[in-house]
Amino acid sequence: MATIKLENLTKKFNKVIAVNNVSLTIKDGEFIILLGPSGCGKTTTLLTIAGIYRPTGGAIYMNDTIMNDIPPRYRKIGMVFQNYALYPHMTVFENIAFPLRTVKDISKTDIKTKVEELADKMRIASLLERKPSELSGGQQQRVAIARALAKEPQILLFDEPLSNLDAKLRIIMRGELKRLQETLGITTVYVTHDQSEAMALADRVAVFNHGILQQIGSPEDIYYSPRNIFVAGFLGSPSMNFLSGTRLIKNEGTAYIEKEGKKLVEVPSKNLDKFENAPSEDLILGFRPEDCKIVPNDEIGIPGKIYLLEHLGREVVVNIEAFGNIFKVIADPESRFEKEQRVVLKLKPDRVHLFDSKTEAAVF
Amino acid sequence: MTKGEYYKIGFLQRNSSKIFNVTVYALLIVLSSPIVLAYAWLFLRSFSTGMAHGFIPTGLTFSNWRFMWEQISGLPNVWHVTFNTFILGGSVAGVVLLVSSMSGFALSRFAFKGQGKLLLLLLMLHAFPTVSLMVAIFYILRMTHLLNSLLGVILLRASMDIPWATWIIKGFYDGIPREIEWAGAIDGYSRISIWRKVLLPMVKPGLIVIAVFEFLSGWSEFIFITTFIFSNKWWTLSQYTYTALGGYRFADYGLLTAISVWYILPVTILFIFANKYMTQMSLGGIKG
Ligand SMILES: Nc1ncnc2c1ncn2[C@@H]1O[C@H](COP(=O)(O)OP(=O)(O)OP(=O)(O)O)[C@@H](O)[C@H]1O
Ligand SMILES: [Mg+2]
Repeated sequence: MATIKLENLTKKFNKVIAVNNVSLTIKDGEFIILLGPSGCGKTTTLLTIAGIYRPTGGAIYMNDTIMNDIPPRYRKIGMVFQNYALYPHMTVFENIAFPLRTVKDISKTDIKTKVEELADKMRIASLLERKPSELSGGQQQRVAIARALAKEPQILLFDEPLSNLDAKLRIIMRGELKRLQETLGITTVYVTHDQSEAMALADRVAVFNHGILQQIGSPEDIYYSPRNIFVAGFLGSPSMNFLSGTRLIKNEGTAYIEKEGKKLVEVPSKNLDKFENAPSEDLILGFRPEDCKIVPNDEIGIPGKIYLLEHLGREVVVNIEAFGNIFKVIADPESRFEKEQRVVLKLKPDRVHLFDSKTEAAVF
Repeated sequence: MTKGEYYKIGFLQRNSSKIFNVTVYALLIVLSSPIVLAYAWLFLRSFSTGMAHGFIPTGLTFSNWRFMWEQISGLPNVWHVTFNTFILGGSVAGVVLLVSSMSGFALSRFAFKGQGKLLLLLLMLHAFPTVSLMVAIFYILRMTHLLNSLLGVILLRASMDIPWATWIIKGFYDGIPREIEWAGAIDGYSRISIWRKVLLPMVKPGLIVIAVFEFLSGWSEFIFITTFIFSNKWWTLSQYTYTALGGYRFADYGLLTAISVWYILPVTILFIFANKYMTQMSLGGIKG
C-alpha cells in the first residue's frame, strides 16, 4: 500500500500563498483529515498530492519516491470531488468503467465484472444504465466513490464529499465511508471544514489555517490538548469560551488564574512548571461549554448572570454574561434557571486551557 | 426538455396567460407570413405550367426541372455543381470545427497575457465587411496559387468564420467545471485524450450548431466564388442560380423557380434535422 510524506510543501498562486511550508507524514492505511475554515488551503493541498497542481516549493513523497513531477495518471490515486465531477454524457456504467479502460490488456468482460462488483459494493447496481443527471445527490456520491475505487488505488482523496448532502444522509454516508476505508485499508486523505465529521472519521486530524498546518494529532489530542487558540476555537460545538486579560497568581502555595482581583480557577500543580517558558500576565483563559458547572454561589469561579437559555432537547445551552463576554455552558435540561439570575461558573481545573495572548500558543 | 431548461424559461411560463400566448403566436404568424408565402409560391410555381392571377397554378409539369436531366446552354451540369456545393459546405464546416474546437478550448482554459484583448480582436475581425478585404485577398490567393480553386474559397470562408465559431464554442467550454478534467487526469488519461473523450462530447451541442451554420455559410457563399473562381468547373449552386437569373432566360420563371427550390432544399432539410440542437443552444448551452 502507500505512505505519503509532505516535506515543506508550498503552493503559491501569484501572490497568494495557499499552502505554506507544510510538513506531515501519513502512514500506510491511515485515514487523515485536513480540517480548516474556507480558503485555508485544504483543497490546494489535496490537489497537489493528486498531482493536479505542481508544488511551488518542497516535495511530495509516496512510498519514499519523490512525486513532484509525476502526472496524476501515474500516481495510483482515486479521488472524489465535492461536486462529484461525474462525466455527464456517460452512463453510470461508463463512468465507473472509464478509469478501467486505461488499464493495459483488460478485456471487455473483465471491465464488466469489475464495474458490477463495484456497483454491488456501493449499492448502485440498479442504476448502471442511468445518466448522472438522473441520479440523486447521494447516488451520484456512490457512483463517484465507485469510480475512484475502480483501479484499486493505493491512495484515496476526498474533497468535502459529503457537503452537498442533506444532514441525515451525511451522517449515514459518513458511517459507510468509515467502514469502507477500514475494510479496504487504503491510505486516505479527506478534506472537510466540518469538525464533527473530522472527529467521527479520522485516525488523525491535521488542522489548517491560512495555509499553515496548525496541529496534527488524533481527534482526542486535537480536542483535549489544542496547541493554540485557533485549534481550540475551531473544534467543538458550541466552541470553546475565551476570557482575555487574566493572569497567574500564587497564594499560600496554591496557584490561581484571576481577573480584576477575582479568583477564577485553581491551577493544578502539575501545570505550574509550564510557566517557566511562558508569561504569567496577559493570558487568555479557555474552557469548553461542557467543562463547567453552574452554581448559585462560590468563592472561586466566574461570577455572572444568565443572559439566555437555548433548549436543544438533550441539553440546554446556558448563555452567561460575565466580564462583558457571553459564555456558553452546557447544562442538564432538568435544571431550573431563570433569565437574569446571578450565578457562578465553576470550571474543572484540569480541563482549563491557558493561552499566551501575544503568540496565541497554548501554555497548557 | 431537461429540468434546467425548464427553470430557465420558467419566467416566461409564469407570465403566460392564454391571451398572452395567443397574442405571441398571432404576432409571429403575421410577421413570418410573407416569407412562408414566398416559399410556398416558389415551390408551387416550380411544378406548374404557369400562375393565373399570379398565384393560382394552371397545370402540373416537370419540365421546369429539366435542368436536372438536360444540358441547359450557358450553365454547367447541375449535378457537378451541386457536388461542388456540398464539398464547399462540408469542408468549411469541417475546417471551422477542427480549428474552433481547439482554439475555443485554449481560450477558455489557458489564461495568458492579453487574452481579453485577443477575444475582442477576434470579434472585431468578424465585424469587418468582407468586401473591404477583396484586393488583399486576391494578392494572397495569387501568391499561394489558390486562385480559381475551391480550396482557396474553402480556406477563405473558414478563416472568416473561425473567430465567431471560436467565440461560441469557448462559451460551451467555459461551462464545464475544472473538476471534470481533473477527474479525467486522475482516471488515467492524458490531456489530449481528456479533451477528446470527455470535453468534446460535452460541447457536442455547440459543435452541431457550428457545423450547421458553417455548412450553410459554405453553401450560400457567393462573393468569393464569383470573384476568385474563373472556370465553371468550380462553380457552386449560388453562382449557378445567379447566372441563371441574370441570363437571357429571364422570362422562364418556371426554370428559375425550380433552380431556386433545388438550391434551398438541402438547407431546409438540414435545418429540420438540426432544429432540436438549435433551440437547445438558444436556451443557454450545455445540459448534462
Ligand atoms: N487556481 C487558483 N488560482 C488562484 N488562487 C487560488 C486558486 N486555488 C485556490 N486559490 C486561493 O488559495 C487559497 C486556498 O484555497 P483552497 O481552495 O485550497 O481553500 P480551501 O481550504 O479548500 O477552502 P474551501 O473550504 O472554501 O474549499 C484561497 O485563498 C484561494 O483563493
Ligand atoms: Mg476546498
